[in-house]
Amino acid sequence: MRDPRINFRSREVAAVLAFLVPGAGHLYQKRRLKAGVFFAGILSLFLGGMILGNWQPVYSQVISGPGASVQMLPGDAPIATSYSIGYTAQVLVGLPAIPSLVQQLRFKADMGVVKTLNEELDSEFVGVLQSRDKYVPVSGRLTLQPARLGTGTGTFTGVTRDGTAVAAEIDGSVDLGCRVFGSPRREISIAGLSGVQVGELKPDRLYGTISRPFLNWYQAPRDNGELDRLHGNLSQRYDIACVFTWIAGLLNLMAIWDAYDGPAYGYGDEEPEDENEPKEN
Amino acid sequence: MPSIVYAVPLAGVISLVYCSTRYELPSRIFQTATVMFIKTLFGLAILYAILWYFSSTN
Repeated sequence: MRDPRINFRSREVAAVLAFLVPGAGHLYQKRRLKAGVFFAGILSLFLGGMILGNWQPVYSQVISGPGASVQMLPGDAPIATSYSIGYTAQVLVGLPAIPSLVQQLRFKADMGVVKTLNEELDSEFVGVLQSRDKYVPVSGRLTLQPARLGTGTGTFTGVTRDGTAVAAEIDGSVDLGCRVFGSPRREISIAGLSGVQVGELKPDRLYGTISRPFLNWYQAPRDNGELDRLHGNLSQRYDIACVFTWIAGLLNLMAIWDAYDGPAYGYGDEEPEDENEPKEN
Repeated sequence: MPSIVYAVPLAGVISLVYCSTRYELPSRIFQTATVMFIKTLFGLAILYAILWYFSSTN
């Protein structure tokens, strides 16, 4: 039975508010201490998990398809989608986990490798120069101008691992990984380099990744390759980050129920039952 | 930093939020949350000690 000393106001409204923002339902009911505990406790756990996991523990879908990289698949390629079980717990935190659902829709609407540059691209680049079956790791800066379908013109300047400076003119086909994807790195493949020489080699292809804007990767669907990279980079820190965000969501489920139906064991000032007292038959 | 330290804030938040959903009276919430937090850490410490013992004897 609900305690009459608690003013629940509209219990349904309180429960919805408690779902959207941890503690908001209790604030609506003027239960300020609990509102503060739920807001600070649950959100700090969720935020702590996000920071530990490089802002990548929350995603709603894992995509798999033919080929090594989902980013570089054509838009009409057959893909399989599986839902993240962990997200069913994370989404209970409410608004902080909702971007996953928005990114899911954005990914679906905009899937497929990009072959047309609509605006100038200027980004740092990490990858390899290819000359037949030889690869030279490089990093540097890539600039591309908008061009006709499937082609691009621009420049690459960078250094190899041993510090040798390289510069190349680009005039050839450009494939960019899909716009929205759950990785901060966007894959790029360029064929048609000229004017570059590394030792004996004359590379004519450039493969690698450039940076992807935060809003295009945050909480977006990803593939198993990206999850493997995350585990490789963060090791057990990524698992701990996931656990933090899962538990934050599950704790908010209890907070939602508390806003709807009150504390489970009572107000807290009840006399404890005396176990030695004889029971009435 | 050893991963075990992440258990401390986790246990703290779980204890406080869980006990807040059990009672309404602040003093009762904090009292039960403190007891739960200490018991949880104690249990984890025992578990950690057992695992550490078996992993160090091999």
